[in-house]
Amino acid sequence: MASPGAVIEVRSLGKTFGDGPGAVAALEDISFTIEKGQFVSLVGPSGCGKSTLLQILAGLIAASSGEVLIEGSRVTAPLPGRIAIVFQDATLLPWKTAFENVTFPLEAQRVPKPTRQAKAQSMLELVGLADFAGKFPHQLSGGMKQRVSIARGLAQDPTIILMDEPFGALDEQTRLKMGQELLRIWDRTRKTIFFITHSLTEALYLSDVVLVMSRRPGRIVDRLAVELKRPRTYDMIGSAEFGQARNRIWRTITAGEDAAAAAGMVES
Amino acid sequence: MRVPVPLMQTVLGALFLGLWQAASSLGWIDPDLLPPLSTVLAAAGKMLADPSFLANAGDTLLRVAAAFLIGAPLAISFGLFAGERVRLQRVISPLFNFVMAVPQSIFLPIFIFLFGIGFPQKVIYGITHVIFVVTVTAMAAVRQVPRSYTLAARSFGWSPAEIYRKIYLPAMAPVIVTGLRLGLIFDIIGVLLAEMYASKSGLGVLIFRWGEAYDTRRTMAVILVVSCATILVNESMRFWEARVGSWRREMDRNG
Repeated sequence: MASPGAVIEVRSLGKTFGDGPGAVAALEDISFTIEKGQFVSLVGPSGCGKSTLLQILAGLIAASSGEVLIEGSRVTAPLPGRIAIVFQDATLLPWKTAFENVTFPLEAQRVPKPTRQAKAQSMLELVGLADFAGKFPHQLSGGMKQRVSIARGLAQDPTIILMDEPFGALDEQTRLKMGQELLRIWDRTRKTIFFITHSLTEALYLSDVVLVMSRRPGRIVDRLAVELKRPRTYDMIGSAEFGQARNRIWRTITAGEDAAAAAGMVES
Repeated sequence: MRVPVPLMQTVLGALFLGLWQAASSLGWIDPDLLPPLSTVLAAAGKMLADPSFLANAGDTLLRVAAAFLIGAPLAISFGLFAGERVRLQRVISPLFNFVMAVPQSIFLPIFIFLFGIGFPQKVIYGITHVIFVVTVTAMAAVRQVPRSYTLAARSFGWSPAEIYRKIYLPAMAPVIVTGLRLGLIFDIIGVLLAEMYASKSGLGVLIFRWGEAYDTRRTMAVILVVSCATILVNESMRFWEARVGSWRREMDRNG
């Protein structure tokens, strides 16, 4: 039975790659729920299986055990139109313009052409790229490409947006600006967002809830409700509250790295 | 001020042709060994109006075209099939490399034992020139399609067949066209070589026959005609390559 209000529900999910003695456990016993309209981040060391988890949530790969429920029903295949993904490297098709990249998924979802074009136009406006609709990806900066990718996700009008380290390749300044942009867009659209990052600051700054994942095999080792009020401002990053939350996540992650040393740190 | 590149190229080309003309007409080189450009051009002009020359050219063209039209689709289909199968590629890649390292010309006598010296032998020999390079580039073309494109396309709801058409094909096109261009050039080399070695008709046989007869004027004229034709073919293919791959070149330029 699905929990009421939960848009995403993950139940004792496990993923093992390969079989026999060469099998690698990527994810182990992962359970969490995300409610409608929540902004939830997942942090963890690189290689811990964050992207694998995202791809399972998206129905792109199958879990080895456990299950994922999206709005109460079990995921077995991609859910176009309900789940949109924003990938790490934007994955815009280089032979299509920004505009065509945004309409491309809508074409797959058999949205009529006039609607496709109207949606693409308004989403590119929303991300501030209306003037760049006719540009090709190679003519755009890294930040602009990610904005097109976000516009592409939003245009599909999904319930859920899964974001896989979308700002990971951007410089610090652009990254912060993109975070602010994303919060503004989220505030306007109130989508449920599942956001993967390895930046603790980014996770805390953006999210309602931060999930912390351990090194491989990835497990959820902490769940932290972020109490900072909204709208979030850049100044909050320097606050004591922010620092404490950051330290807590940092300790949890390092505890996983070296259990003996961590035992002392967590108690102190 | 810098001299524009096209101007420099024109000057270089003109210089070469002028030198040729002068060397021969001023007697620096024996005109029987190297006839002047003007004489060769006149011979070429006469040839292009001569039905028997045109028949030979037609035969060569037909062989080249047949080898290409049979070889290229075979190679592309196999390349695409193998490109997605890592294990199969591990098995065949070294074999392909071995075969491609060996000069194909040395196998010509074997082809004559097996297939005689008629049309089929020329076409089969041409096919062997097309098939390897096109297969290898088609396999490379599949491999260079980023997996994230197909993941994204699946999440958008495209079916596997649509992903082939809308993602793989456009992403692979520039590399495949490069392979086709190289395949066509190798094809021409193969067919001409087979014709020069043993044939009853074709441009290769004319070059060989007139060369043997010490008819430098006409030999040079055929060489000139063949050279111009292959340059034209190559440049048209490159134009096509640039069109399907414009996004790719731009990407390289801008990083």
